[in-house]
Order: sequence, then C-alpha cells, then structure tokens
Amino acid sequence: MKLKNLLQVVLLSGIVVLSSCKKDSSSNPDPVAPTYAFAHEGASTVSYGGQTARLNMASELSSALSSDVTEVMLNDMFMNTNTPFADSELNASTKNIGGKTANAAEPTISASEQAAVTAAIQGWFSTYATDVVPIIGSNADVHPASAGVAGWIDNRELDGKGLEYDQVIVKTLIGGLCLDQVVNSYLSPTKLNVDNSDRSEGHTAMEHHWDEGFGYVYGKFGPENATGDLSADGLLGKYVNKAGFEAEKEAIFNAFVAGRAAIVAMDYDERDAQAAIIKQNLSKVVAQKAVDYLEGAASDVASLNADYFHGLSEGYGFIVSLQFTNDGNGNAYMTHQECMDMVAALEAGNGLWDRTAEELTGMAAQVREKAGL
Amino acid sequence: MRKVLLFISPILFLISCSDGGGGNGSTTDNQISNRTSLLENVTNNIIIPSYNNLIEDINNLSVTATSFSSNPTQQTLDQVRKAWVKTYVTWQAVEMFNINLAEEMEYYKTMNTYPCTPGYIDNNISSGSYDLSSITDQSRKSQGLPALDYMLYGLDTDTNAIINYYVGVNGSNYCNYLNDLIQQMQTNTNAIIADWQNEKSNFINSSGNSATSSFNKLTNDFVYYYEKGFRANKIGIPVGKWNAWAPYQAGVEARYRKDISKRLAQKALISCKDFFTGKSMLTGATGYSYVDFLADHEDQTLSNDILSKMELAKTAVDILDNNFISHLTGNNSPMIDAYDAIQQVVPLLKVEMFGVLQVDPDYADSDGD
Repeated sequence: MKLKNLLQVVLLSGIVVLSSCKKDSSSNPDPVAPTYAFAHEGASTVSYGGQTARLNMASELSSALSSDVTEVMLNDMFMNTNTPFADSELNASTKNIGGKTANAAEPTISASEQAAVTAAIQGWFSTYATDVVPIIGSNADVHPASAGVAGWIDNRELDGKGLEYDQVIVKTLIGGLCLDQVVNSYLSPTKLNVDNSDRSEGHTAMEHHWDEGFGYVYGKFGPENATGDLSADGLLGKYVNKAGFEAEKEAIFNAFVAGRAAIVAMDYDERDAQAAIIKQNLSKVVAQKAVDYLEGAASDVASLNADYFHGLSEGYGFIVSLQFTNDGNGNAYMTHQECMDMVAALEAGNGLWDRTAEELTGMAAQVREKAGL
Repeated sequence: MRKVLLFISPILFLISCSDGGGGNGSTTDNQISNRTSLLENVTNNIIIPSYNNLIEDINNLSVTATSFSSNPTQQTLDQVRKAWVKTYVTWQAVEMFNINLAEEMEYYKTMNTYPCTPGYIDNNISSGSYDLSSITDQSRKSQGLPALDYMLYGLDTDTNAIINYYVGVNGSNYCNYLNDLIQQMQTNTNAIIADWQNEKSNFINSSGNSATSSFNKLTNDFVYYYEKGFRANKIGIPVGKWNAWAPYQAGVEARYRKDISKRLAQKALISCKDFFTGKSMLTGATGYSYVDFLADHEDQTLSNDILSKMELAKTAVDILDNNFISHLTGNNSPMIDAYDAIQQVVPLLKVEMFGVLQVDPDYADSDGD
C-alpha cells in the first residue's frame, strides 16, 4: 500500500516536473488579442511610422502619375529628394519609396534583377512624362487614344501602347514595395533572427521588424489599427480588403497578431508558422489579381474600352509583382525573367491595342499554373 | 521507503528543460574547450600578428612621412604613398576586431571612416588647432587612412600641385597635419596592442556563451564586419544598393587614389575567409576554427556551404575593375553582381551559423527602418 502510494507520488512529481518544461500553449492559452496592440510596462511597443510614411508617399506619387508633372518630379517623389510632396511631413521624413523597392533582405531575385526592376520603374516615369503628360488636361474629344497614339478613352490617360501609368506603377509597387518588404524582408529569417530582449527603445528589434512588416499592409491607419480596416489604403492593403479575399483578409490579420504575440512569448516556432501563413496568403492575393485582370481583359478586349486598358494596365503591374511573391519557403511563384517576358509580350507591337483574348487567357493560365490557383 | 523517495526525486528534478534559446545553451565541457581552442588560435595566430604587422607598417609610414616633410619631392611622396597603400592593405585584416579597448574607443572609426570630409581637414590644417583624440564625428571624418588618401591624392588632380601644398606658405601646416595623422594612428594602434597583451588571457579564458563572453563578441564582430564593413561599405553603398542604384562615388574606399579599391576589397574578403578557417598569419597553417567548431556541432555541410559561397564572392570581386569608380560612372552590372555574390553568404552566417553556435546577434540592422 505504502509503496504503491509512494510510487504514485514519485511518478506524479516526475510528470509535473516534465510538463512544466514545455512551452505549453494549449493547456494554458493566453487569449489571442483581437487587435494588433502590444505593450510593455504600460507603453505600446508597436511602431511602423516609416511604413505609413512610405504608403503616403506612394499615394502622392499615384496622383502625380495622372497629372502634369516632369520626370524629375516623379524621381524626386520616388527618392524623396527636393521636397517633392504636398505633405510637408513626408518631405521632412528620412524615408523614401525607391530605396525599399525591389530591395528585400532575402530577395527572391538577384541584385541585378532588382536593379532591372528599379530601372523599369524609372523608365516608366520617363515614358509617362514624355508621352502622356502632353495630353494631360485634355480629353477624349480633342485627344482620343489609338494604337500608337497617346490620348484619352473616357477618363483614362494612356500612352501609345494603351498603358495607364499610374496603374502600372502602383500595382508594381504593391509587389515590389509592399509585398517584397513583408514576405522577403521583415518576415524573413534574416530579419526575424535578431535580438528580442533589449528594450532600450521600448520595443525589441524582433518586435519592430514584425511591426514593419505589418505596416506595409496596414500602415495607413496609424498605431491604433484595431480592426485591420483597410479601406483607405491604395496598395496591398486595398486588395486584401476586396471582395473575394475575405478568408485571406482574416487569415492575414490573425496571423500578424498571433505572430507578434508569439514574439512576445519568445515562441519562435509559432512565430515562423504565422509568418508562413502571412507569406502564402499575401502572395495568393497578388497572384489572384494578376489572373483576374488578365482574364477580365480577355473578355473586354474585343471592345477596346476604357475598362480594358485600365484593367490590363493593373494586370501589368501585378504581373511584375509576381516575382516578389513567397510561397512560405522563400520561393516566388514566377522568376524575374518570366514576369518581364510576360509584360514584354503585353507590350509587343502596339501593346494593349494588339492583344488577343487567346494571348491573355494563355497568360492567365500560366500564372494560375505557377501560383497553384 | 523514504530512502527510495530520496533516491528518485533528485533524479526526476535533474531532468532539465532544454532551452534551445541562444546564449543560454548548455555549456558542456566539450563546447567550453572548443571555444577556448578557437579563441586561443584566433588570438595568438591571427589577431595579435595582424596588429603587429599593422604597427610595423604604420611605423614605416611615419618614417616616409618624416622624410617627405623635410624634403617634399615626387620621390619622397611616392615613398609615402607606397607605405600608405601597404598600411591600408594590412588594415583590412584588423578592422573586424572590435574588442575591448578597440570597441571602447571605436578604434576602427578613427582608422577608416570613409568618406572623409575634406572641408574638416582643410579647416584643421589652416587653423592649426585640432584634437585628433576627440570622439566627434568631425574628428573621425578628418583622420585615419581616408584622410591620408586625401592628403596624398586628393588635394589636387596634379601631383606637382599636391607637393606644392607641402612647400608653400602653409607648407608646414600641411606637413604637421600629415605627421599628426600618422602619429595618431600610431598612438591608437599601440594602445590597442598593449590592451591585447593585458587582456589576452582574460579574453581567451572567457569561454562562456553569454552576450558578454569573448566567443559571442568575436563571432558577432566577424559577421557584422562581413555584412557592414565589407559588403555594404565597400560595395553596396557605392553601387547604390539602398538608394535605387544611384551611384555614390564619394563612398568608394580609397576614392582619391582610385585604383586600389578592388585590392582592399579582395584583402578584406580573404581576411574573412582566413578568420573563418583559422588560418595562422604566422605559419599559414590552419588551427582550431569555426570550420572545426561547426563540424564538432555535427554540421558538416554549413561550413562547406559558407566557403563555397565565399569562393563565388571572390570570383565576382576579382573580375571587377581595380578602380570601382569606373563601374559607377560606366557599367555597374559587375559591381551589382559582386554585391549579390557577397550577399549570399550573409544568411548562412547570420541565421544558420548563429543558430548552430547558439550565439545571438548583438547588433541591430541599420538599413533605414
């Protein structure tokens, strides 16, 4: 009797000792915070002001790309030189968009391919300034667009190839700036494998990197972003917010919250699991939009109406963005060359004026296959 | 019965929770002795001999500068220039050791902050009053090897015009400054050498694995140097990696001399490799090193991976022009490719190697938030 009880006590104490060692999140769960709000000793540790600034800069750049501007002005906005913005706070910021476009810490493309993307954007600034600005302020009666001739269709300002540059460039930034910085930089091992204890700045380095990733999706809402409301964003956040992505939207926000909580709890396996969810879901949104715009254009091409040129210009930018996707394991759905070959095919001859439904459906099918959609 | 209980419970409570977290890793005897072996090898066969080479070169540089000052000619200037190049090359093996006194006084910043600021240097020379031991940014940007680059090559595009600076009305100011710069390098380097003699056994015996132990600091210094001192400073920043590829000529190492930038980068890379493989500066033989340490932690493939990627980086740097500015004003693709090849090693060091060694990174990224 006594020996049996003794044995039970001994076994029980062993079990208690062993189980107290596990980082056990299931038997003693902290409720996952419903909002992206984290604090240490009463003070918020959440910070992503640089990302908010850049999203705001991209907004002004977007407006400039349907306005009467010079190439110099566009480059100034890209690099935040010579006080280019209407918002003086942006001019005072030390941040810029250009230095973070196609510039991830663990890039899916080579450095020379990164340089090629930057050069492409700068080339679009040049083409816009040269070919489209002359017809800005005019209209479809005076300057109707046609194959090889820049002009208007309804309220869309197009170059001779039918490209609407604010769409091309902003959708390229969705991938090359926002997506790339989240999935290939801030949520990459290089950026997450950093200090997580030094609180001399309030937040740890690891917390801050995670927040910066968050900021590229949700940064337009300030530090109180309680609901993940994305309706005022113009970039990646805007698309996560669109109809058809409800599941992804929820998955992404929850994963950002859970991953950030995991960092506070120093549970790095959990952190990495949540990072993978974010990478996969954000990448899926971008790939799906490329497909949607291509397939949408395939059905509009016969009419060559404003929606066709507008939608396919958006598709162009999303195709360029595909090289920045991340399947959760550091691999993009498509290579740089595959993306650039596809947009080169869009630009062949008179560009969007010359495309056929077959070509566009074929491109969409290729993206579907590469992205598993 | 009580005896049985007494027996069993201590055994149960010895079941430790393996933390897995870096820096708190179990310090088994084997790991302690591995760290000690590595620290011993690196200290005795790499760090101290490198500093000895350096002070020898600086002393020689001082002699040539004295000769030049007393008789500024093309010939005596050439001697100074030669000695400066030799010193700059030797320096590449030393820059990564940001330890003890070197760390306290930010020694590497006094020796190699580039670009220097010609305006600060000109002001110092004309006013004749300056304190090179000052820790201000202005001080760092007006001394060291980059300042000497300016003094020997940057005052003018014409060599005779440069010599005239040392002869003319303000000639003695220029001569004084030249000699003072070198003397400051001597003072600083001698202090570091003395510090190493004093701290050597403490350094080697600090065989733990905490943030303040030698092994952790040394490993962090190495990776930080590869990433920042080598990859970013010599290649990435000049080629505009973080500035939409806008070239930054002023940021090139030895930008006034122009044609030794590649040589300095090559030396830096080989110094990183030799540090990693524990290659003795005295004999050329390899002693206990990170390669051995990683193998002893049962990760054979990682060091092979690191070394083969370093080899690819070397190839990419080797095909660059001696003068990096020619790439920045002409075809920058080879320099972009070199950046890429160098970059491939970084995650292997920062993520993989730190992980296996259970060392936490002790520096923050500073790539602009």
